[in-house]
Amino acid sequence: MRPSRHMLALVIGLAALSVGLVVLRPEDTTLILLPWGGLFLLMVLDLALTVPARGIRPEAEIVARGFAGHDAMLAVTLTAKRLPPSAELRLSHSAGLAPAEGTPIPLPVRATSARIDIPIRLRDRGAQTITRLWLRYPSRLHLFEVLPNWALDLTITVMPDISPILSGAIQAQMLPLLDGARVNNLRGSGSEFHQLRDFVSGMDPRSIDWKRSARVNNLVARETRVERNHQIILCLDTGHLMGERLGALTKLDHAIHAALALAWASGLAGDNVGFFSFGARPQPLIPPRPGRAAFGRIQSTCATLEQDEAESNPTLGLSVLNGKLKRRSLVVVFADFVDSTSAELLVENLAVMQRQHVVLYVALGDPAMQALTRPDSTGMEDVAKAIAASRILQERQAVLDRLNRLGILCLDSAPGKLSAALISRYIEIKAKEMI
Amino acid sequence: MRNALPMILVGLLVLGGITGLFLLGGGGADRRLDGSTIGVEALAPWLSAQGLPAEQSNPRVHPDIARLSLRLLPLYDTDLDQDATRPADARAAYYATTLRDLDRSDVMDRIYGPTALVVLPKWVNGTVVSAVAHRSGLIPAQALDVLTLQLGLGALKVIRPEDGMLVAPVEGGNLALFLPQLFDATRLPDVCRPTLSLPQGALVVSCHWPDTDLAVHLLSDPDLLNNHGLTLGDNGAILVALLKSLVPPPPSDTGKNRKGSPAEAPAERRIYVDTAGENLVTYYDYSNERQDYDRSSDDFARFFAPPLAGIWAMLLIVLGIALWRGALRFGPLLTTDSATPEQSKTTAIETNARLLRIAGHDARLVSEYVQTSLSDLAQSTFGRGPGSGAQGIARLFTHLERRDPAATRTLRDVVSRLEAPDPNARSQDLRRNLDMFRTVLEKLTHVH
Repeated sequence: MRPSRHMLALVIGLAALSVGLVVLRPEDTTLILLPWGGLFLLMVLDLALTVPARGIRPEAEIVARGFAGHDAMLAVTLTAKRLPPSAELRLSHSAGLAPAEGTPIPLPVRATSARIDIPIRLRDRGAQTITRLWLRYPSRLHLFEVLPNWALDLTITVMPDISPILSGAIQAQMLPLLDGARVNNLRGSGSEFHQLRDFVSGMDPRSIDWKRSARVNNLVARETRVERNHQIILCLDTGHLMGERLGALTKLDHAIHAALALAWASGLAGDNVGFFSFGARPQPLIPPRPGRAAFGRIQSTCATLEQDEAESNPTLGLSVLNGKLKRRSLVVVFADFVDSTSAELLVENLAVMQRQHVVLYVALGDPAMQALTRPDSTGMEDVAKAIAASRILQERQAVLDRLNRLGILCLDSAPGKLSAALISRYIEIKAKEMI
Repeated sequence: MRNALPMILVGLLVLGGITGLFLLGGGGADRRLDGSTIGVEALAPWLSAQGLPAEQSNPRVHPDIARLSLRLLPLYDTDLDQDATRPADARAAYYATTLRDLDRSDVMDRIYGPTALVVLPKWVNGTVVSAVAHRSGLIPAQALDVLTLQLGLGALKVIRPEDGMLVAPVEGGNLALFLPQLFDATRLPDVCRPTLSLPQGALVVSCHWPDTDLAVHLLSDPDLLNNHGLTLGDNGAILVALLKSLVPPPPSDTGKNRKGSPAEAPAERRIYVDTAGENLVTYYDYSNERQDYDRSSDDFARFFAPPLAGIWAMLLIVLGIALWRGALRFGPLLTTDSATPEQSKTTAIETNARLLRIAGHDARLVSEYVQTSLSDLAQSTFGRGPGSGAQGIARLFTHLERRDPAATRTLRDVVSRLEAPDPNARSQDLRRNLDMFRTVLEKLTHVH
């Protein structure tokens, strides 16, 4: 318990009044003591009327798991013989959690129990803890603030976000490629022979297999399907640049979410998915396996993937990966760079890899930078910032243009649209049979 | 304003320094006068060399009256009642008779303080400038009559009996004066008597008022002691002899408020060459009023006696309540974010922007901004390839013209003004054009 601002103001006012009385009427000590005595009585009365902190019993619970970037709700139930009229909550927690800013919450009158929900934004992957609950409520006459706190032992495991997979959004996006109820039946305009079927009116006459038609004395058409069993390698840069936060999540988290979505989509499309990551040193390659079988392993690897504090080494990482890949693959590289100079190594190594594989380079654009280039005011400070931001973006675009000229596919997307854009690009690559 | 505080402090310090310089550097004209041919800068060192302790007035030194034996007061003002005015033209400046403006009451204070030898003025301002003594540079005798009248010696008349160099033997050697200026010995007031006389008139007179017991000596011709006159003939020796005779004996009782003991006073008494614009002599020693108290613990106890005790009590209560409130924290400790990549990027942009700003080319900055905005818009409208470069912007204007020809024309005008700015254009014009650019562009891209 501590004095409130009201009490502090009251004491300062009384002190000023008393100093005046001391100077003007020093002989009349009763006059000085009177207001102080009144204040003391008010304090005693306030304490007597206030809900005691020791009578309040809190119970807190939170879901065991949650997806990074999503909110998890902490439910706090306060039980007491009588509850204060309002209360404000704060939490001691690990850095990967971000509770919503606390404001005084009104509690039901004459209730013995009340539930308060606090939304907590899950920022970092891994086990995050909540260790203490702090409560603040005013005394009856608002002369004091009561500040009880209780130890908590709550843990929430924050996992990579696979909510688009669970919700079926990825599958819905893959429907044009699947073209049927059966997941594995990838019919379409691919190049791989699938089956022969009777020609019916409306079919493309060019699909008629004339030899077979002559043999069976009936018009038979060839049906092809999209090639399957391609190798898709998801390659993540875990260097310190990927630690930059875009919104609530780091670039690495956004990349992981998009990679998992693509792994699931590849599984649907019948491709084999492998996973590789590199920071200052390369990590072991998870060899390509049929999509759904690979997904669980990739998911668990991603859940424990930690961002490297050191600068990443693309030469070492991509060389190791290139050496391990024996078959032409689609290599999706999630990496970042600061400027054209620091991108030099990345460009060189992607160019080497592009000779044998299809390389899709995925970069994450920063919406805040885009906002800086379009300032709301015409103040010269804002204009100068807009130009500085534009120059950085232009330099970034120049690197992406250079990659494009080298034949490397590039995808520069805002964080929220990355998964959808990546899968669209994957479908496009498949449709064009670039692998 | 965060960073403006050091600059404000530096500005204040500089201002203070400049003010100090003005205060210390004042009196340049006085110093020029003292060093001129009719000044008396050489007098004090010369008298000291001749065994007569002397000092010249200094605006920052306030000598005690007990240390002075005689005050030499050369006047450079012929009308003590009137403030000096700025001369209307060069001729008036040349013939100005007020070289150092003095106030009558101030002069009277100085005359009737310690024993004084008042030196009348003789030469006009042009003598200082040209350093040539000529008949035309003499102050008219009528003006000097006004001065003697203001000094309370109206009957004292100044005469100029010789038109050339006067060399006359007196006690101490040959007196040499050019265009001598003397008192008319035949018309001296009753209270005055000649101290140094020549056949043509009195050079020095001493006046004494018996009823008030005040005395003053007057020297009619400043050439006896000024910088150029001191070197003529035996003027120096004559002056030394004269001053020795004029210096009064040391007072037997220095008074309890005077500094120094009677025994050491004569050795330190000096002739004071008073060229200051105000009376600097201290007449009363205030430091003698100092009273020493015994320090004891009772003095400390008085801090806690009423009514101070009540004030301290209030202070303690307020302090205690504030500390109580501050000692208890609600919630966990706030942690500062360590350096993150996004922070470094923001800092890099801000630093870059700051560098662009301090380069001081706002017009070029705006020009680049306009180009970038138009290029971005063209690329987002037509795609990266067709929308890039000058062709993309030209295509954008064509596209906009189809929508709203009048607004596009206005946009073209504003863009041309912003892209080729007038180097002498004011920042307000730049800002206004930039606002117009944004407004028109928004109208063209959002309204349609």
